[in-house]
Amino acid sequence: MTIDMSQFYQVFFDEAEELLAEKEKLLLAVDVSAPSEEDLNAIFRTAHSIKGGASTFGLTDMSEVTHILESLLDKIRKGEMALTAEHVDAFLIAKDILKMQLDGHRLGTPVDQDAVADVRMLLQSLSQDIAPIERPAPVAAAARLEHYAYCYTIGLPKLAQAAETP
Amino acid sequence: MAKTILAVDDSGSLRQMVAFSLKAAGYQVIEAVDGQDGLEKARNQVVDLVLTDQNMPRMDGLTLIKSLRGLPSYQRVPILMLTTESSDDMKAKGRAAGANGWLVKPFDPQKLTEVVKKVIG
Repeated sequence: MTIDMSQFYQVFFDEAEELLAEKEKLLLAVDVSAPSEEDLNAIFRTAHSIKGGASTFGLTDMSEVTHILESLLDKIRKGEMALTAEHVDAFLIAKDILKMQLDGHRLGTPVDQDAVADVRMLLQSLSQDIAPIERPAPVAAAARLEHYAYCYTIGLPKLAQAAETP
Repeated sequence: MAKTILAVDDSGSLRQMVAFSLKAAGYQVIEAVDGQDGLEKARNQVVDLVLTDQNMPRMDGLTLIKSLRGLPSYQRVPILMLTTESSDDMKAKGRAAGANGWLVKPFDPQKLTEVVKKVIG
């Protein structure tokens, strides 16, 4: 018997929303200089739970981000890496990215894929304990649209000329 | 009489999916939200199979399994772990705690039902 997974999506969306809110609350409250094992485990679980649900329900974009996030959090909670303020900042950015992805699935709102790629690179670099590669600041969405509009403006006159040529 | 399965997972959506799949296959399903809840429910009613996640608040899966194996009524009840963790180290810990098997998330509900049927009929 084939089961229609979409009937569970709404429950997962609500759950993920709550987990992201909990993650933010935990991150804002954590003592970076001396985080408790309980706090680190709780933060880890939020990422782990979102990853589990996202994987199960086929939300690959979210499971990819949470996989990297979870791996880094696992290293920190096992004491392989110390928690730093930089980590907390990155985790909060990741939380915003996941929220954006979640809204994309739930509400059909746009997802900034450059921002997603940036946070993946940031988390990966932190996971390998190397300085993040400097990337140029992302172009604002409105500016990108203007650029594309300019390209189309250049393109159209040529097409018009081609159409007129016998 | 339908066999009863205890499904332990802190994710409501996954619990619902597991419960739906197994009920559709004719099983009765008791849901628990974490290891502590699972242990209390297991004590209240002896089930035919336990499915448990690993990473949960209050009590994780391994601790739940060890606690269940400490109960005389749960010496022979099959326990399967249902988790994203699939390292050899974690599997070894699961076996040592008393788990009989392991299903890695994400899992196909059809596959879950097949495995459950093989284990408890």
